[in-house]
Amino acid sequence: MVEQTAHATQPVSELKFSTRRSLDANPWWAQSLIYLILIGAGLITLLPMVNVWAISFSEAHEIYKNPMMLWPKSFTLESYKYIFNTQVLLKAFGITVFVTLVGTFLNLLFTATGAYGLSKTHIPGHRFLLWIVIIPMLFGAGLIPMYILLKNIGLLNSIWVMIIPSLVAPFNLILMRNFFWSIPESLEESARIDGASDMRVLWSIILPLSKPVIATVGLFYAVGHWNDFFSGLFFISDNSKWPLQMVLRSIIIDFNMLNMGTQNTNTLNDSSRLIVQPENIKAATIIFAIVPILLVYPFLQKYFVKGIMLGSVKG
Amino acid sequence: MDQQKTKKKQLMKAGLLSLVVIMLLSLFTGCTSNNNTSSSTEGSTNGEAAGDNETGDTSGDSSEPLKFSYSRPTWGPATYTKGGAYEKELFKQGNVDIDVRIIPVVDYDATIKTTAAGGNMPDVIWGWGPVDAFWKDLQDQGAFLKINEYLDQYPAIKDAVPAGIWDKMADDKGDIYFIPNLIYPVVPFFINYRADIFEELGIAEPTSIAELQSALEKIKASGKDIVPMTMGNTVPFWAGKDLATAFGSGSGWAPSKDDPNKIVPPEMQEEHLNYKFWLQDMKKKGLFDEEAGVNPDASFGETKFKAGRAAVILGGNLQSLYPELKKSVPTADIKTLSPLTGLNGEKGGTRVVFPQDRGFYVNVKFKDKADQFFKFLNWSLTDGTELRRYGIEGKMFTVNPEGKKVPIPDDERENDYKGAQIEPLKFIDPMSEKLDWEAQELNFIGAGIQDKFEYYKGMFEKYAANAYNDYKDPTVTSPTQAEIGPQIWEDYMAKVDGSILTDMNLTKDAYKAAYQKYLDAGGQKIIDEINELQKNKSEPNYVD
Amino acid sequence: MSAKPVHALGTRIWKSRFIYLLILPTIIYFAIFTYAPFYGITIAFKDYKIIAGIMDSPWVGFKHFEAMFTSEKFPTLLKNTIIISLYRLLFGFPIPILFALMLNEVRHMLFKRFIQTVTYFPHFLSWVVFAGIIYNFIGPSGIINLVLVNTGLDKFNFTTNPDVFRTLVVITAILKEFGWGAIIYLAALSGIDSQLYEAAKIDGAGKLRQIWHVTLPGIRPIIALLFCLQLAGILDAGFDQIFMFLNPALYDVGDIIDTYVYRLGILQSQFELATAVGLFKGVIGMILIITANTIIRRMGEKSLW
Repeated sequence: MVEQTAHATQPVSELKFSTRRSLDANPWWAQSLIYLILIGAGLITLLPMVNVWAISFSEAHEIYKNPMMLWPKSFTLESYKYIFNTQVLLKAFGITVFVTLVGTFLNLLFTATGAYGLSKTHIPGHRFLLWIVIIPMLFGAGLIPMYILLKNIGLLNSIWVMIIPSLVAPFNLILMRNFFWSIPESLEESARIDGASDMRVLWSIILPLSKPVIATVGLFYAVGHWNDFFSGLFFISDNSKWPLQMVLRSIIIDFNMLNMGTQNTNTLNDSSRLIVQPENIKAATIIFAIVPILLVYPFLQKYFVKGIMLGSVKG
Repeated sequence: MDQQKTKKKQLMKAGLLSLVVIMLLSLFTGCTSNNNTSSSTEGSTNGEAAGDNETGDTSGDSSEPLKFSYSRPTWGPATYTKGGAYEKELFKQGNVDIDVRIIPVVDYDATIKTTAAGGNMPDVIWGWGPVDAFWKDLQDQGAFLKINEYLDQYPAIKDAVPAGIWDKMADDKGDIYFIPNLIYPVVPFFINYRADIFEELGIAEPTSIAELQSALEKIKASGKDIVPMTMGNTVPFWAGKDLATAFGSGSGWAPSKDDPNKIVPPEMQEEHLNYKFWLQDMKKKGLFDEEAGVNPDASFGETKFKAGRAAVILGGNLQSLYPELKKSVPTADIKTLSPLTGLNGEKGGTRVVFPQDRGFYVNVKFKDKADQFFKFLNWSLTDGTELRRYGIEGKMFTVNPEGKKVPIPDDERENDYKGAQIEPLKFIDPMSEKLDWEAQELNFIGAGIQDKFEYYKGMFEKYAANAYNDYKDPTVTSPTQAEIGPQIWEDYMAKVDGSILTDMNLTKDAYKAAYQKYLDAGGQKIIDEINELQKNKSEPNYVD
Repeated sequence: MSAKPVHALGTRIWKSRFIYLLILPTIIYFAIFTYAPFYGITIAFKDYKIIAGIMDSPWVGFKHFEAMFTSEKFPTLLKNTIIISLYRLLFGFPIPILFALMLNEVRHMLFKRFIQTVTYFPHFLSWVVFAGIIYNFIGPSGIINLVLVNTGLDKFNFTTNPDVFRTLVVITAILKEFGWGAIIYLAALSGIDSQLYEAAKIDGAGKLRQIWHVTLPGIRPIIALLFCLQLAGILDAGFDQIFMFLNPALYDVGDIIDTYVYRLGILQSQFELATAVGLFKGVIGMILIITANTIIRRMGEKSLW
């Protein structure tokens, strides 16, 4: 039954060609060109990371001479010792891991249900409900009312403030909803004719078909949580509850950098007080803060396998 | 069969329903579960113990420790951990229990403004004070506690700040709300140079702008791969503030040439423009660092100098420059130019600054316990001085044979005693401690450049001997400035003023033309208002 | 569904009750965290007094909007913002698609995964860090100029040159984000039914034809959606990045609404101005999103609704 409907959705009319050459792969020159471009793209994006990595293992005075190193000079583990001796960093790491795991799980739960509901364009009031989701993408009330809200519901200074106020990202919801939407209605209908309930349809037809989009949206959410310093900065006053990015930020950003073009000479007096962290410590902190999240993507790539067969789904 | 199916269907629906219920529940429990933990941290410690305050008033150490919340910026890495050993000691000796909120200084203003706007002001809060429109406005709205009576009651606090500064902190009625964080007004930005390179090229130490320029030309012509002159860790024209004095400019407001009873901003002073366009000329000729005003990372100049790739540096921290440079170039030697003489014989010196960099307010809601807080501050400036200033013996300082307290370098301290743990618990240091030559000498010893100390001190005195001031009282604000000042500056001046060093075709005339537009758009009104509001236009003196 | 007779509204709602139940948590979430704070938008029309609070601050009408629109700089700011955004749309938008398509042609799985992973690295470097690395290449004493000088050529001014600023911003943004941007397309590509390719092959379609007739139609909805959303954000030209690259000498070509408001608003504590500008951007975004969606729908493609 389902197999039939899957076939029926093929745009067969577009597939009639006069030539009967069966070419599985590109011509060798095209394939080589693709590989060349991809290798080039890979190199360009890899170099900045290698640079940061190399700096993190080098001694500070070597970095002054040549900041563009691709291999550590005067190898030292000093900066990593600093990191692993700094309790706050380790604790912040733990908090970020917690927020990322729990947050992403809740994000996906809420987003998937909402997205599935909104993909049903036949329900009355659908357009209205959709606009409820679109408007937050365009308008925000600003920081102050948000702060007052969080104060009133008692979320301030709790690590849940990094999870609950960002439960559903409109963009991700719409992304997922459009994926659900593009799954042929006929698939679901045939399942319903077989007696499956809404729940069953979502669980055993829609979700398995949507692994790639769930993995993608999950990655977006996870990275969002991982990189979030904003909620920590504004909504958490107890720095023992800060996320990793917040501590990282205080280490890598020089005050002066943000000072260009201000008129306030009072601010300029600050320069004598700023404690600038050595470049190698900055680099090591960056590595420490991004390597774990970098490892998530390769793990998720197995859900991106090509060619999930619609036809293989049993109703 | 059919029945079974509908039953299954119902079961599924029930499951779906419970899923939604669980999700809603998790949403609400998440929102409410932290009610009790979060509300007590900020701004609310004042109400709960208003009663037992009266009994605690008279007794010193035996009373309940004073609990209060405190927000302040930190300049170092935000690695403060609550409950550290130093903190425990301070709490015990000072009989306090401080809930500190640290905010990296980069983010302080935006964050604390949001907190304040959200009605969550801590009991003691750092800010810019009455010199800043935002804080002055809050002060006028009645957010903070008037402290005059406490200052009279606790003389150590009053004496920590020079009387002239207290005057500046007071509003028109003489009410004081703000305790300033002091800095020593004399912060010379030395013009440092590589003595070894000058010697090698046979260049005598320059004593004037003209000689400095010819020295830079020689360095460039020598074919050495070295930047003739670079700058320290700030924006370019400020890094050269003490070079500017040799042009007769104090990089601030000064009496007008036409009317000595009027003061005018630096943009209207020929001397200041001469300085700025001289620096542009140096850059054009390849004598001043091509990265000045270009590199978004302000530390590029010091980095270059440390790596031995620059011959002269405007400003820069000697105590870090020297040891790092020695690592790259073991034979290197750094010396400092005496204040230069200008092209028309002007005598150089140093531009002094207003001796305040932020400070703190006490929340008006904290009134009931304010007395105990000021008692604590007073203690920190009297009996608590040693703990506040030097910390704990053996952990933060050692006593040398002469009986002097030698600080232990930060990276040799145990975690609990590092600077990042101490800084959040700082309140006020008296002006009398700000220029501490003994401590400076110990820093030089710590950096391994003990022999440079006397030389450095001598130079400091030479620069300080000829002080240039900003004649504008920082506490005077013009209403027009507050209303449209930033916008007309952005519209007419920001580009021109910001691109002198990057747009080599920008001329002094074009600059003046842009400034005229700024004046016409309201700038003149701002200047007039300031002259109107600031009665005393004589040269200020913060140093005494 | 099409064969279904038209029921009364009440019946239709009742029939869809479980769908509503699924949407309910999302709606509650937005009600609490987006719509409840919306009263704060009134700040844009008020003289905001912190102690008095948002509700009790005095109204000033359109004063802050006037300040924005009548500003000497506003035409330049708007022009810069839109031009930079359009450049991003024109060049930055197709590149992740092309990249994903190329990656899709790679049969060597290990290589594919390696490139896929490596190209998303720079997304994790903040603009502060990434701009620093870029600067080491293009700065006046950077690597490129070093090479130019060593080969006897003149130095080229990348950093304070109004002629190249926008190009620079677009190229560096592409470098940093193309790998990340491709993820979404890779996911879409993996959703394409492989039977479609089989059928195309049987019909004798060549590689390019397969791409044209199977692959592209497969990801067209997602392209349409992302295009729509990016167009709606046309007044967001990328503050974090431009803030790092901007220099007063470049204000004529590179100063955008956000950087201007930052200098004016955040530094001078004008909450009102920031809120007013946010509102303005939202209204423009709304108009664009409706227009784009209508056009896309006319073209027979699924978009937002």
